[in-house]
Amino acid sequence: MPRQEWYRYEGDNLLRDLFNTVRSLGYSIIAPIKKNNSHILSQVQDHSQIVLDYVRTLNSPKHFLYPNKKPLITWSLQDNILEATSPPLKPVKIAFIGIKPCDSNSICVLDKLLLDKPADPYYKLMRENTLIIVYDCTRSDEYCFCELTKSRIPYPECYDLWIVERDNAYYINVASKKGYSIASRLDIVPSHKPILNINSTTSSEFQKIIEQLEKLYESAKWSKCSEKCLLCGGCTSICPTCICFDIVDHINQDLRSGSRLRVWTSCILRSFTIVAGGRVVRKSIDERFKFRYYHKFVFARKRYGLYFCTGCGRCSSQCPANINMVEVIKRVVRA
Amino acid sequence: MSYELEDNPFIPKTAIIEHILSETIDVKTFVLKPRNWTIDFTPGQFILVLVPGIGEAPFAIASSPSLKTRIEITVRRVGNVTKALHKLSEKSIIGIRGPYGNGFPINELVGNNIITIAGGTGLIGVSSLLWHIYENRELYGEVYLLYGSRTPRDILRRKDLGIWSRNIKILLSVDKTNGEEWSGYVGFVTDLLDKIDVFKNNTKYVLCGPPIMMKVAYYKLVKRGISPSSIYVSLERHMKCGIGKCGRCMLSNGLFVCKDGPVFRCDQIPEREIQ
Repeated sequence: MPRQEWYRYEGDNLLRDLFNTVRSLGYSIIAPIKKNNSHILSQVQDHSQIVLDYVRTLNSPKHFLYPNKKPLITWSLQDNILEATSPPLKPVKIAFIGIKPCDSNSICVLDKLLLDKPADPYYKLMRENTLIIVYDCTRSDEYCFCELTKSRIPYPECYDLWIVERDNAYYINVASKKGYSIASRLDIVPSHKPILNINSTTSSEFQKIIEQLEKLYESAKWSKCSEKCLLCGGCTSICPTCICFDIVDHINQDLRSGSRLRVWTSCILRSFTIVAGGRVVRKSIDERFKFRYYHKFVFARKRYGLYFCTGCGRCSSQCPANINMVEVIKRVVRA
Repeated sequence: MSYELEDNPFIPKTAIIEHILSETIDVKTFVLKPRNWTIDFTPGQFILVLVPGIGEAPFAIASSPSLKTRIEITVRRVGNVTKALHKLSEKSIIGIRGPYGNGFPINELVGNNIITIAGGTGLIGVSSLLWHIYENRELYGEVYLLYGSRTPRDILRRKDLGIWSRNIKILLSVDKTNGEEWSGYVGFVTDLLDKIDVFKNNTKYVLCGPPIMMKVAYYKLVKRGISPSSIYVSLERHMKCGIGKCGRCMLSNGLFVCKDGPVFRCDQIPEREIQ
C-alpha cells in the first residue's frame, strides 16, 4: 500500500494496538498519566495507564530529550595528560504516545536550537531514537494560547503520527517513514482528511501585536509588568522550549578527575549575565523579565521563523505570582 | 551496547602552559602550546580555556594569527577560573575549546584607515587585529591605536606595543600617574580622539574596553558624524558553551556574542548593547 497522508483506524482499541506495536519495536514508552491531582509524562508499562483526556502535563518532552544535569564530558588528569571523553552513552529508543500538538511543536523549537550546527551530540542521539505520536488536543483551559502562536496544528517535521478523533472514528496522519512503519502494522484504511476546526485569524492578530511589541523594548511599561515577578525561574524550567544552561564542574575525591554537567538555568536570574569582575549586564528585574518575551516572540521569529513559545500555558498556569504571558504582552502593547 | 559520540564539541583539546609572563600586579600572560594540534584563527576570535575541576572562561587570543603553534592569552585575575589560572605554573596542562566567534571582518577593514580605541584589558580584544595589521601594513591607510590604562603600571603587552609602534601610531593615556614618571596623556582614552584627525571617509573605528569607555567613544564618534556602520566593537558577555546554545551571551536583539560576535558593527546591534 503506497504511503499517503491520512488513514482511518478500523480496529477496536487504537491505544492498545499502538502501544503494543511500538513496544514490540523495542521502544520504551513515555505517555501522559494521572499523578495526584495533575498529569505528567512518565514511562508507562501498560496502555491502561495512559490518560488522554487532560489539559497539560506538568513536565514536557524537554524533560526527557534534554535532561537537567546531563554530564557533557568526563576528564582525568594523570601524568600531565588531560584525558577528556564523552560519558558512556546508551541510546535508548523512546516513544512519546499521546502528547499534544503544542508539545510536539516544542520539540521543533528544541531541534532548531540544539541541532543548529554544531549540534548538541546528546540531544541529537536522543532525537535519532525518538518516536513521536501526537494525539490531537481536545481539552484546553484559560491558560492555553496555542492558536495565537500557530501551534494548534503539529508541525509535520516533528512528529511521526498524529491521531485525530472525529465523529467516533480515529484518523491517523503519517508524517514520516518511521510513522508509516508503525501505522502500516495497524488495521487502517486510506482516508480523507478529517475536518479540523482551527481559528487562524487569532494568530494573525497576535502577529500584529508582536510586531508592535518589537518596537517597545525600551517601554517603561515593562517595569510595571515585571513588578510582581518573584524571580523564581519556575517559568523557564517548566517551559518546554527554554533550554538556557550553565556548565557546572564536578571534581571527584581524587582531585584528578571529574565531569562537567549541563545544568538548566534561567534568564530571569541575576547570575545569568554576570561577567568578569562581577559586572551584571542585565541588572534590573525588568530587563531580565522582558528578555524572555523578546527571545521567544521577537528574536526567535526573526532568526528561525517561528515563535519559541507553543502557547502550552505551563508558565502562566504555574506562576506563583499569577503572571500571564499573553496578558503581559497585551498590556505592554496597549496604548 | 554503548555508543561513541563522533563529534562532541564540549571536549577540549589539550595545551601546555609553556611560559608565564607577569604583566602587572593582577595580569599575567600565558603562552600556550597546543599538544598535537595547531591553531588556526582569525583576528578577534577567542578560545575557552578549561582549568580542570574549576571551570572554563573565554579569552581573546592575543598573539598573531600567523603564529600557529603557540597562542597567548593575557588574563586579569578577577574570577574563579582566572584565579585558578594565575595559580598554575609553567608546564601545567589546560584544556582549550575553539577558536570561536566571527573575528574582525578583515574584508570590510582592508583599504581603510583604522582607528582602534582600547581600554584596560580591552587591548587584548584587539591585539590579534593589531598583529594582523602590523604584518599586513600595506593593506591599510593610516592606523592608530589609542590605548588607555589606569596607571602607567597597568599598561599591558608593552613588548607588543613596542613592535607595533614601528608602523602603527600609538597614543597612550592613563587615568592617573600614581606618582610615576609619565610623559603621555593623563585623562580618558577617549580624549585622545581630540588629538588626532578624526576622519570620516575610508576610516573604520574599532572599540574594545570597559562599558563606559565603549559608550563614551561610540557617542563621541557618532556626534562627529561617523556612521555606526563604520564603528566596530568587540563585546564581552558571560558564556558557557561557545557554540550558540547556552543562551548566556545573547544580546537584546537575539544575536549570540559567541557565534555571531564577539565583533559587531554598531549598526547591527542596539545601542544599549554597546557596553
